[in-house]
Amino acid sequence: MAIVEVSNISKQYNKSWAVDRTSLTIADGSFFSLLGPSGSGKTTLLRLIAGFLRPDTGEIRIGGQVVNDVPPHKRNIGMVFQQYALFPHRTVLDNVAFGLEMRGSGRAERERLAREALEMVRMSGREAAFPRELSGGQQQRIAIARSIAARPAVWLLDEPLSALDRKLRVEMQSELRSLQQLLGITTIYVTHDQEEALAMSDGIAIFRDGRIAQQGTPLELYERPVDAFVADFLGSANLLDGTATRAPQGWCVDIEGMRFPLARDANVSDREQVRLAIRPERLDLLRWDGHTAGAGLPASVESLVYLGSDLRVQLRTRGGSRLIARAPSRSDLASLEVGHEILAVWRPEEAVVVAH
Amino acid sequence: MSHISLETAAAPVSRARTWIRGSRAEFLLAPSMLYYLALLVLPSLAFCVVSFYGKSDTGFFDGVFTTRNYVRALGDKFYLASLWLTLRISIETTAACLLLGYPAAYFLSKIGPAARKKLIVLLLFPLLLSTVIRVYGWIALLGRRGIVNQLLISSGATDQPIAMLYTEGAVLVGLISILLPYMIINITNTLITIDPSLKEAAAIHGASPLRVFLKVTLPLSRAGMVSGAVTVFTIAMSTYIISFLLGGPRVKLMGNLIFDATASFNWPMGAALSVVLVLSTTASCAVLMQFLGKNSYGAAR
Repeated sequence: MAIVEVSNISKQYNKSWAVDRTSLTIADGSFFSLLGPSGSGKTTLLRLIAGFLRPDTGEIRIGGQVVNDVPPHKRNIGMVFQQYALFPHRTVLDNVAFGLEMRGSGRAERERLAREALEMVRMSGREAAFPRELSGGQQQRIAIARSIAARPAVWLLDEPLSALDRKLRVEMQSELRSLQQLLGITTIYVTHDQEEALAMSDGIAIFRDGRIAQQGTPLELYERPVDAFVADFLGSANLLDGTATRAPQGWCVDIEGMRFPLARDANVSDREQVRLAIRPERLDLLRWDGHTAGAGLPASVESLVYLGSDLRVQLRTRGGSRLIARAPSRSDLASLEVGHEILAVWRPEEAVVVAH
Repeated sequence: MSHISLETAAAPVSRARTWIRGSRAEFLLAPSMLYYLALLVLPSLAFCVVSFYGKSDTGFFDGVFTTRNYVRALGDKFYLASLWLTLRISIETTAACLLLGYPAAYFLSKIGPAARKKLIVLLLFPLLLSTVIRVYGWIALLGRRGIVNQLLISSGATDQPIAMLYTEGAVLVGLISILLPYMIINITNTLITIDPSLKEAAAIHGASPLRVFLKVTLPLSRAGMVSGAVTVFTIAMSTYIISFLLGGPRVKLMGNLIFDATASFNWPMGAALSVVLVLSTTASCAVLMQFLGKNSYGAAR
């Protein structure tokens, strides 16, 4: 097992920086996700850690040792590829035993460990099959077994579930997570699926244009996004612009002529233009007659979408901003209709001041 | 066979392919099948029949059934030696093309598609020239007064011209030079279909570059080696003009003996030799395919 450290890594592709001065520390035995839209540099960073690419600047350390000049086959890594990359000319057992064979284990030893790995992914009994005889989900399990059979120090997964259908994907998420905890292996997981990253990770780094926009625990990232990109990429967020004001009771923000208190720890200055991010499910809607003054942002209902477990309400404020609210479909919002006037309210600590 | 099935194995069977596979697909085969039936299968059958007749001084054959031609073709030392020589030269040519062609194909598969395209055009360029003209080039090089001998004599390496032309070696050199492009192209076409992530998967799981090649690249390029070897071998087996021009009267391959038989109006003997050549080529190819690649990596699911 090993700690993985990336310091000041850059990699240039066709004159643009695929990874740009990125630093990251992944704790021993933790499950860390690299999350971001396609082309944001997360896969490039994974390939740099694997050793398929050489960094232009910076250092990569695995278990304290600088591996910049260590070829992939000597890095003691296991990896699951996006399209599985199983060897078509080898049986399931020989695929899984590949890493052990390369490390020089004897035949009996490697068959025992390969069978053990197959058992962990619940694929015992298909040892003699060839990859093309298996379904996509089964091939995926074989690829996972192959990557862990030799008990590597670091486990890399490159969007391993993206080719699976939704139900199987969710099932595999929890299987991968429990496998990771069983082995206690330092894991780096590339995905563009924010739900997946939230569900599985100890830590997440969100990538944007080759740089890390923010890193932290899933909770930190969801509750305290640093900017609008992170707020909107991880889940979704309503963004409201206003002006910070010092009031007797503490910091407030003026939005469309209404004054709202800010969280006590808000870091703003007087008359500063600020942007607030509020999660749709943290927005409360109050019935309103449309005239009397109330403590909330006046808005009208533009559309209602029934999503089964949830109800999604799209609102337009008087100032023209568009808001999304989300609530359980059996709440009293269910009686709302398009055109109704409402007041949107939130608790001060639910509105996060984010960078523009 | 595994060549094609490997590439398409992963793709789901589309509607269009199902349709082509369906009952109406045979119509698409009909024109080429009729062509082959009329111009290949029927004449070949006629050949087989003729090979069981005796020769005639006035016509093509005498019409009397005999196995004498086959007894000669398979019993006479002269004919057996030629069959063995033909097999040996063809195997040597195939082996040399594999050894020379694989590194070149590997190089071609490594470079970018644009550069590869240009180099493959260059590779095919000699095929535009008639074999006869290219073989005459070898005569100019290897002859008694050829360029190679003149260089050797003027440099003092030898005082007598070395007999290079009209030897087995000359035929081998000529065959290899003409057939090598077929091998390179066959292997290249297979190498470029190997998913690069397979090599990465091998490397990350502990295989050094050499073992990536031995454990992944080489076995997965077997289909290309088989198709290249079969192509080169069959052309070499039936060669006639190359051995005629570079081998002279001393290197008589089956093709030359068939020509000699027909030139002396012994059509039935020529037919029998042809049948022997075709059957031995087919049998050798079957052995070759067993030897180089029989694995289809499991049945389709």
